[in-house]
Amino acid sequence: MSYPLLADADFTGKRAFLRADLNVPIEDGHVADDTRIEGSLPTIRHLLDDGARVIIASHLGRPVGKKDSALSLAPVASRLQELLGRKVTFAPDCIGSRVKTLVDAMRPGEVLLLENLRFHAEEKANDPAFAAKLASLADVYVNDAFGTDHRAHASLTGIPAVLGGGYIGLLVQKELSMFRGMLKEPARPFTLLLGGAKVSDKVPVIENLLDRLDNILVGGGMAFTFMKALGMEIGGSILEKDTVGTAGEIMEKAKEMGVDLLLPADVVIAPSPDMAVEARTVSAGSIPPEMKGLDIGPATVREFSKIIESSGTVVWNGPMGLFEIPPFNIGTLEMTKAMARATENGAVTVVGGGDSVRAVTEAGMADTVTFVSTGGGASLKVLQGKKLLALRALSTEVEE
Amino acid sequence: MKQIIGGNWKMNGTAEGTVRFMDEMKALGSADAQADIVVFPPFTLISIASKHSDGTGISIGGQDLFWEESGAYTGEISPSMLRSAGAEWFLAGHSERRHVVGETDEIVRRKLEAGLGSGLNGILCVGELIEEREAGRTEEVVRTQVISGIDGLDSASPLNLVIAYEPVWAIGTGLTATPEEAERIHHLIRSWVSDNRGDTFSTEIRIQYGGSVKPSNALSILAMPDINGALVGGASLKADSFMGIVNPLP
Repeated sequence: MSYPLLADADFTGKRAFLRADLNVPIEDGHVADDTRIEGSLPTIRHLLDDGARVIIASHLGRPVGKKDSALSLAPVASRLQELLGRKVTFAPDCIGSRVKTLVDAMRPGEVLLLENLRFHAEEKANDPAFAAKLASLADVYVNDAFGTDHRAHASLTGIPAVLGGGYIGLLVQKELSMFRGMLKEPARPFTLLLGGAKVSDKVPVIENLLDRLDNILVGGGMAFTFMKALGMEIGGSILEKDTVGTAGEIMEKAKEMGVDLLLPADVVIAPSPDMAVEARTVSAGSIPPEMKGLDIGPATVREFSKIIESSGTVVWNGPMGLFEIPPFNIGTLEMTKAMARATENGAVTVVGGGDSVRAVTEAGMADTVTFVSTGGGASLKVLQGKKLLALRALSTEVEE
Repeated sequence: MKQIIGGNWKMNGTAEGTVRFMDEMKALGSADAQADIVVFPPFTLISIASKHSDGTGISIGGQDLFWEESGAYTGEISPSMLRSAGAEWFLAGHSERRHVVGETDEIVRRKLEAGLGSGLNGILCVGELIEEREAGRTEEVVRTQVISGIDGLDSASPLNLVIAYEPVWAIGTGLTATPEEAERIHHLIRSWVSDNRGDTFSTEIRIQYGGSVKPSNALSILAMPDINGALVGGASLKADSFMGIVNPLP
C-alpha cells in the first residue's frame, strides 16, 4: 500500500489544510532565502487548480510557545504572494475566532496563510485539543512538510487523526521517491559518506544500508569516536563516549559483510576552533592531548575523493569538519567537489541532512549533485529505513 | 535493464492540463527517475507537450500513425508529421485501435514498418479479449500478434522496439492480472521472440505490462523479472499518480 496521493482526492470546493515547511531565514523582516517557499509552490498550485480553498500552515524558527514578532510568517506571506502571482491573505494567528472568520470568507482558488504554529506551545506538545481546533478549519489535510515529518506535532500527526487521514503533497512524494529509487537498486559501487558530530543517529543508517553498501567513508566529528574504538589517540577531539562500543561493533559488522569502512588517515588539528593560525595536519592516531581534530586532512581528501569519483551511487550525510569556520571547511568543500565530479561521471549523488545540505548550498554546488534533500532529520530517518511519523498518520492502510 | 514507463492519455487532455502535467512531473523529479518515461498525448497536444517537456526527462509519442508519408489520406497523421511535432515514439496496435476501430494484424504491421522505418521508436501492443481468454486461446492470440508484428521486420531492434502486453479485459476495468499471471505471459512472449529473432534480441527487448496499473500495485508488478515497465492508462493523466508508478513509494 502506498501513501495517499493528491491524485486520489477531489479537492473541488474543499477547504484544504496544507501543512508546509516554510521555515525560511528571515533578515530585517524579509525572506533571505526562498528555496523552501519555491519548493511548496507545486502543491499549492495543484490544490488551487483543483478548485480548493487553500489554508497553509507552517512553523518558523523556535519561538518558546508564545508570540514573537521576529518569527512571524508575515514576510513569508508577501513573498509567497509574489511567487504565486495571486493574493495571499495572512491570518494573525493559526486558531481562534478571527481565523475562523477569514476561513469562512474564503472562496475556491483563494489562499490563506496562518501565523506561525509554534506561537502555541500546544503545537510541539501535540495537544489533541489544539489539533482539533486546527482541524476544524478544514475538510481535508495535505502534508508537504517533509523536513519536519519525523516529528509528532499537532499539525503533523494530530490533524490527520481528527480528519481521518490525509494526502502527501508533491514535495513529499518527490523526496520519498528519490530516496526509494536510489536505495532500492543502487548503481554500484555504492558509497556512504558520513560526517557530523553525532554517531548515534548515523549507526542505524549504516545498519540499514549495510547489505547494499560497498564503501563507508567516515569523517567529521564522529570519526574520532570510531578511532577511539580502535584504541587510537584522539587528543581533545570530540568524543561520544557512550557509543564507542557501538562504533566498534559496526566496524566488525562491516568487515564481516565485506564492506570497506574507512576512517581519516590524517586530520587537521588546532588547540581550539578560534585558533586557526595554529592549525596543522597530523596523521590520525598522533593527535597531541591538548589538540582537537577539526577537519579531515589532505591525504584523506584524496583517498575519499578517489572512492567517491569511482562510485555509481553516493549518499552523503554530515560535514567533514567544523565547516562554519575556515580553514576547517576545506575537507567538506573538497567533498562537494568530489560529489560534483562523481555526478559528471554518471553517478547518482544525494545529499541529505541539514549541515551537509547547507555546506553544498553555500558552496554553490547544489545543482551539481543529483538530488539535495530538503529534510535534515527526516532524510536521516528515511536513510535509517524508518517510517516518518507524520506520514504514518495519513493512512491506516500504510503497512509497517 | 532500464525500465520504461509509458503514459497513454487516450482521448483525454487539454492544453492547460498538459502544461500543468509537465510542470508537476518536473517538480516530482521526473528528470532524475531511474526509468525511461514516455507520454502519449492525443495528436493535438503533442506539440505543446513536447515544448513543455524540457527539463522533465520525458519523451513524447503518438498514440497511432498512418503508414504513408503524405498525400490524400484525410484524417491521418504520418510518421514524419509526428517527428516534426516533437514525438520520438508511437504506439502500434493498441487494443482500442484493434477492437474499436477494427485494425488487423496486417494494418498494425504496416504501421510498425512505417514508424520504425522513419526513425521513431515503437511500442507494439498485444493482448487477448475476455472471450479469447475464457476460450483458453490467450497464448495463441498473443503469439500471433507478436509474431505478425516482428517476423522479418529488419528495422526492429531492442533499441527501437518495445512490446506491451495488455490483456484487454484488464484495460480500464480495474481488473488486473496477478503479477504471477502477467509474468507467465511475459515469459512466453520472450520465448516466442527468442524463437523468431534469437536470444540477443529476446533478452534485450523490453516488455511492458498494461492494464489498470496504479501506484498501489506498481511495485509488485514491476518486481517481476520479465516485466520491464508499464504502459499506463488512466493513472498517467495526473503527474503524481503517474510518478507514483515510475517511482513506486515504499
